[in-house]
Amino acid sequence: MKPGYQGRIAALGQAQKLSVQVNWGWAFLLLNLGLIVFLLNYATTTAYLWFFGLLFGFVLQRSRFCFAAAFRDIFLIGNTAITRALVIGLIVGTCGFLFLEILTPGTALLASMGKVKAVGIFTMAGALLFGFGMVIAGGCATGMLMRMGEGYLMQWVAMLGFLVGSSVGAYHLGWWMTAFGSRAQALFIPAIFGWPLAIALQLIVLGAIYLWALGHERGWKTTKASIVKLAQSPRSLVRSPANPHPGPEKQPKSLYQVFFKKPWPYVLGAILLATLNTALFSLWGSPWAITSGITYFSAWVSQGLGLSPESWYYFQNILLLEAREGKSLLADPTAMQFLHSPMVYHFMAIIAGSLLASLAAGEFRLRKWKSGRFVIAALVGGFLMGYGARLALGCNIGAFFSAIPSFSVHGWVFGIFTLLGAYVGGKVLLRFLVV
Amino acid sequence: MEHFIDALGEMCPIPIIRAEKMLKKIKAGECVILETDHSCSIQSVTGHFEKKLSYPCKITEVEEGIWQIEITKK
Repeated sequence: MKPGYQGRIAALGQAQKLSVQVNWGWAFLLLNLGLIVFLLNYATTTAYLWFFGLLFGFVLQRSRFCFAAAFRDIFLIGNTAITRALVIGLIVGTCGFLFLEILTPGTALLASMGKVKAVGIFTMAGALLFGFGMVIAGGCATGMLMRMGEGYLMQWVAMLGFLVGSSVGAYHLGWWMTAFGSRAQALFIPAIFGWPLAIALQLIVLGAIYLWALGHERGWKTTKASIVKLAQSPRSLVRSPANPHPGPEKQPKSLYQVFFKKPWPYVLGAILLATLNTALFSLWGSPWAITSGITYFSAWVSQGLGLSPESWYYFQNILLLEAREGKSLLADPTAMQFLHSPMVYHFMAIIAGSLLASLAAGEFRLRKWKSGRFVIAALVGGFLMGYGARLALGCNIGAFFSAIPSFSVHGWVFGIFTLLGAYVGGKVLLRFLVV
Repeated sequence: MEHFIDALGEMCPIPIIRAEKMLKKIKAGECVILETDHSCSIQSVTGHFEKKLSYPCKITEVEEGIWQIEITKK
């Protein structure tokens, strides 16, 4: 009944000491910094994107920020802690992107360089598959990268599925974009309603989702009471409430414990991710995105296998179209040298950043899956995520976390259908993976 | 009395769902010990049971990257 349980307690004394992994963490940090300095001379953009990738990976791991959980846990366990943190992240992102728009008057920054992309049946189908896939694969695109860095073998399998799925999606996208006869068009919310109404609408809707999530978790009575209390003394938001369980273990924590060992609050993670996204947008000229990098890498593998991804719909149409609009992520898009895209190294750097955080906390280990079912779930889930993200023209980052602050309709459509997909995924998870 | 759940190799939210099922079955005052290697769990499990149900939780890192979470039913 208790496999390995009594034996492990004996090892407890050791785990309280500073792990030897911390030393490996320092070595790995130096290696990464060396790489960045080296890259600065040869490929400046790659150096920046590697640096940001490390930061994103570090923040994701430290705050355990899981986009999949933000959608999934609403249904599966009735918990909206991460959902609410994500909404705060979207509000911070919206404010950050607006700030950049104001800083560069006359450039129409968000409309031209933000993640404003075409929306259609393909967005809905893609997001549905993506939402379903992320639940059974145990993490969305960023969650997968973060867990790969932490040593979860299941997510390495999911990545395999993601690579195949994104290539198949890049090939199939044309069918999805043309089969339903609708002309794919990007919809920019301020172009429809005007800026003041668009900003007001966005903030009101995000605020309403936050309140709905709070009510869904805590019950409407408690929520109403806490809103009334907040209205009476707004300071209670800043002051943390008294700990209901003052245990004897409440010793003052060292700086190491607070920054590198204890998980950061979800809200802090969300705010940092949105801030980093804004900084990346301002420095690099394009908001945060993940899937393109993975697709390019997958296309490079396909080239190695003797296929010709250059002729696939995504690379022929979307990539070259974006290049004409000056949004290309490849230095020479027509050459289709996929490893030349700095995006490829960005997603790898997120894995590295998560590994770094995991080592710093002394909690890295190679973690095996529980049973064969999890391997199948990872492969299928990864494939559907890769395929779905290609159809939707982005994942939970490019088509959601960067798209909503860019005021693009496709971000909202992606969110709604990811939610539906996560609901179905939850049902499958309960049926096949909870034993 | 302690009830042990081996959740090694299971991803979120499976450890929470299994702990929830077990907590429903046991008597008040008894506890569930959940062993997990999922780093997200240490935040999500304690957050879920402490904030939502006010069940006290205690985390022990028994090995590098393996935690036991003791959840006491009230």
